[in-house]
Amino acid sequence: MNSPLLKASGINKQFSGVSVLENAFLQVEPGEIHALVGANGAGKSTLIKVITAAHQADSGQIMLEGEALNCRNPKQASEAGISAVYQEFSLISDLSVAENIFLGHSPKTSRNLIDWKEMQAKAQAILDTLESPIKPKAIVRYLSVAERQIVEIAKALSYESKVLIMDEPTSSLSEEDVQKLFKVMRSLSAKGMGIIYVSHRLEELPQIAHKISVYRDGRYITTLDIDDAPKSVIIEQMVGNSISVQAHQKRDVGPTFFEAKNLSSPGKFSNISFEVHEGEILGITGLAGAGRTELVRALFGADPLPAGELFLDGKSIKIKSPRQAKANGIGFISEDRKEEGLVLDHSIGDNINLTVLERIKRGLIIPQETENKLSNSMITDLHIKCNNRQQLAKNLSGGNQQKVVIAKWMATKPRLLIMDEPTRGIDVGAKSQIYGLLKTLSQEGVGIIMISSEIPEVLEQSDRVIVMAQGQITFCGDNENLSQDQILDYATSSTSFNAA
Amino acid sequence: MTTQANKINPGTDPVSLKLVTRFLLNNALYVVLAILVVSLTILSDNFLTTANLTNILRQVSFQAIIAVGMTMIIILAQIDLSVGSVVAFAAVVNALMIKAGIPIPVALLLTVAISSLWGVISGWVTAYFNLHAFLVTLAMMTLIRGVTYTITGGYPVSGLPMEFLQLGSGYFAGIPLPIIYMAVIYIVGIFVMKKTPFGRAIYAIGGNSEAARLSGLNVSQVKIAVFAITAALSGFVGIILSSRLMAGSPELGISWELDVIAAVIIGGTSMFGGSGRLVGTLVGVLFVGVLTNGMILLDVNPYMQQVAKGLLILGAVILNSLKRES
Repeated sequence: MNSPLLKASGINKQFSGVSVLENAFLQVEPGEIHALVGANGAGKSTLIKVITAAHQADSGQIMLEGEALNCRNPKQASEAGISAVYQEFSLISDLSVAENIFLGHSPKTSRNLIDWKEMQAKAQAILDTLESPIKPKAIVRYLSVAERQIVEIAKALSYESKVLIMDEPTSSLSEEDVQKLFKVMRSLSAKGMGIIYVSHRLEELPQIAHKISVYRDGRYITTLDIDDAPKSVIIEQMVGNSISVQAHQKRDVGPTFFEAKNLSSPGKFSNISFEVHEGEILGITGLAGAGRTELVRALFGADPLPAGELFLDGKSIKIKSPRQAKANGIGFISEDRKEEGLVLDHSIGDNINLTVLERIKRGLIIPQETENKLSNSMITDLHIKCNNRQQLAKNLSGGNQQKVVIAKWMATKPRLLIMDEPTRGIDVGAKSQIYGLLKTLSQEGVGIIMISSEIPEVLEQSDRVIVMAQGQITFCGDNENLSQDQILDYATSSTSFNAA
Repeated sequence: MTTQANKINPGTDPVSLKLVTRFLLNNALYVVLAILVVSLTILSDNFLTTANLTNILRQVSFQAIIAVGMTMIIILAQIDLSVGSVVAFAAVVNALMIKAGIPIPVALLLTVAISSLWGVISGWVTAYFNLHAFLVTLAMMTLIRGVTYTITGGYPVSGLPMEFLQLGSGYFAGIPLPIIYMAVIYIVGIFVMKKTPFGRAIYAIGGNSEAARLSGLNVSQVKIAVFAITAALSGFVGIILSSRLMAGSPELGISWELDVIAAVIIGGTSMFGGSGRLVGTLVGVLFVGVLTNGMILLDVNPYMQQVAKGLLILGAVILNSLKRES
């Protein structure tokens, strides 16, 4: 009898008395790309961490090629042949690609010093198998997100892994880079490697996965062949009931209230002009590196804006800091909610009130009741799932953290709300709630700029779409009759929309 | 079948055990201080007397006042090594002003204002060049001490009028004035940290300065203000200290920054920023004060006293790390 490549069974894990995994199961065959899906809190991350020995299971068994594994830490698991590439990278920015790949197990000379030549050569060999042009001597700091991903994979390969686990590898990649990554994954699986692939992007799965295992609330639900698992079936298994995806309906929007004219920042974006209407959702999409985030950060005063003019209600305004942006009724929800959106060690309430401390004060002090009322009403209105407002932000799931960030900007009653990848890395249920929020806000007259790399999301949610490529706008217009193919076409175009 | 079993012993209730551990961790400082006080009361007849307790409070009051500013700075995830130098600077400058015939209240206010400028400089350099305050205030510590020595030529400024003695040695309602100053400054400090937007901004910036900046807080301004407050408090302490000594000595406050930082850390404020309480700092200061006093009463070898203090700091740091992880 052939034993499977990896088999995890009967795994139980509790955190502080709360069960996060109950009798978990996962089986992967050699050469199989196995998708692991589930809403946030379903237990995927914990299962992965148990398999890579980042966490120890309370009970259960992990078998690799028929032999029971008993790893105490991720390094042992790597050496046994199980490596993981996490959503948050574990690379050291100031070291070279080769040093990162061989971190902790660099080739040694006979005198037990680092064998640099050997290390460069081996790194080059691994990068070659990945068909990547990245140089082993390149410093990681200067690599793009997609390139870092490749380095992470190379790092896993350096252990000659039999099982590679990828946690949300595509969440920050552009469509083009996703395709490149898939190519790499296919060639690895062709060589017999088993790949466990965690993703929220269900549309991608038919392209890449062979099998899908669904988790819900810490429990294993089912494993399906990809051919038997259209998106609706997966979603049904994930949430327990089905969520319908609405097609975008054309809506009436108010007059223009915000204008950007000829915004430029050398090396980031150039000659950007657009306007935003009241009650409108303006989607901005494009490939990674198109300059979308850089544009909105400059607009919000988070980064300098060297050239260009901004107008609010026809009057020229100057925004040199987030403080001034806020004073002009602009809010910004960063793509990185952990680093830039939340004070993770502080409570939900403190995070929500952070933007309005000056506004809610009476005399010198912040009245406790005002503060509590504001945070409680936000928790209720936005359906933030938590024990109470005193719960620390770090203990919330990704979707609920994102809602807290949105809440803190809703508290400012903004006229223009900029959201950079508002649904990145959060589960389907929370996603649809956030879309609902966007709709409600826009119906109240708030103008929304939504940056998204997920083209279907842009098509479904936006009233108008801007496509950027290489720091320029290559398309701007209604999303009616706009297809995914057309957007990709504009995203890879080099003709400026304004010039055309 | 092999299992990776780590099953919990069914005889104990893990939840209530956890709560007890948590309570002990959260209140360990108070518990240990209480034990210390009780033991000292038993071991020495001279410990639990009004005179001795007043003495402890007065002794700790000087560093305790500076610790208010230091707590704010550490919550901000910064550090200030220049406080001891500012103490000496203020003592000298204030003494020179008084000798020059400037009325004592005016000299006091001017000195505090000038001292706060050192903080403005530290805060400004830290904020605008995006440096860690450790580096900036390390330089400032040496610089301010040097300025102080230069002003006096290295000698203490003495020959101050007798009225000046009152400021540091006087009493109000039978309580030594330094204790009153300390109490007032703590009450104001706690109010500011808990109730005002400024205090909340300090916590937020210390917790995540980028998130705070993107939320529209003026991060640089808050940093500069906190350093200025700390320098002003250090300056004030320099004045009352020189009043007690009736001389402005450029040697005052040497290595005080370390004592003050230690008290703040013992009080449970995290060096990572974003959390900490002034009440904790006050307890931290008292802890060191009681321990030192107790060891003197029990005639502990002065070298061993340092060992004990070192162990106390080490214990407190380990405790805080346990608390963070639980």
